[in-house]
Amino acid sequence: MDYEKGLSPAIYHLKQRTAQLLSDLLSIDLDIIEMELDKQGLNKLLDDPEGDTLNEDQKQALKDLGELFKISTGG
Amino acid sequence: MQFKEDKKRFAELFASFTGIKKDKVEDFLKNNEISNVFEHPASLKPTMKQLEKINALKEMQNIYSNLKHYQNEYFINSSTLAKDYFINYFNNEKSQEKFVAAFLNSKNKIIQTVEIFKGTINEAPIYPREVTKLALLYDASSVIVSHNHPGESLRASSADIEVTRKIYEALRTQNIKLVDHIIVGGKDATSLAEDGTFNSIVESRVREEKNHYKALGEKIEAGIATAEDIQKYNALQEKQYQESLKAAKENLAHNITQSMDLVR
Repeated sequence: MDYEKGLSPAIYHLKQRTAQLLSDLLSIDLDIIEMELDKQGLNKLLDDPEGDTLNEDQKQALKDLGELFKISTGG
Repeated sequence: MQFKEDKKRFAELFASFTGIKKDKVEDFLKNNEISNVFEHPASLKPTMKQLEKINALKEMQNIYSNLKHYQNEYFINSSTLAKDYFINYFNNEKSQEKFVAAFLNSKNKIIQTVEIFKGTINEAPIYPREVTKLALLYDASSVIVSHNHPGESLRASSADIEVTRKIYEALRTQNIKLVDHIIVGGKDATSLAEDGTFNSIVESRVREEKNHYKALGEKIEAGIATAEDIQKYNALQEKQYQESLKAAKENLAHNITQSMDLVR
């Protein structure tokens, strides 16, 4: 998650903020969330998270959060 | 009215993330829509810690819905897509006129869309400088600008055309292309690239340059050119040479691609 990857400053800060919020809401280590956001992207992470870095409870919490947003945004 | 099942499931999830009792959320949702939970969280009488969680959820939800909204329209490579994108962007905004710019990379992917100004277009001489500054900041290859007409007229005013010309000129000095100017009126839009306004802007620039070049040449021939005139003449000559070289290269690349397609 750095400028070397070609992110514009605004998107870089948005990604940083997203990672921070997810980490606070789900009590997942910030480094792990940043890494998974880079790897999987937000939609995938909130829909069907993959990989061994996150444990099953954390994956379920991410899916629950995605479901909450889908219900509240009507889709 | 949202479905009862949705509200029930929302209450369950919301309670698990914020620590507020599920019954309390369900009671609130009996007479309220889900969005009210985020708009009026105090109605749930949360503790400070719970309120912080609600605010974090609200912020995260905004990010999520914005990304979701834009993900399907991340690439703009036609005036039709550009019109759709900005119609959605303005979302029938009628309270005021806004001027925005979408900055694109070389693959027509939107790097960022920025609101440049609120107010009527002829009151903002600062547009060209602002747009160019941001295009450089985002390292954009091209830019599409757009503004809404709260009165829903789709006709470009003379101020609209003038500002387009100025932005086009300002970006051109940095080798950044102004691709289009979309005017949005309610749920419809017009593209200045599509309606020919853009062509006339480019043609008038080329015509002006040619006339200027011709006039300078005549001055040189008549022996009345200043050193500055000669310098300008040489610069224009060099520019024309570079432009024709660029066009020839593009033509060659196009021909090679076509030949390769034929081989395949």
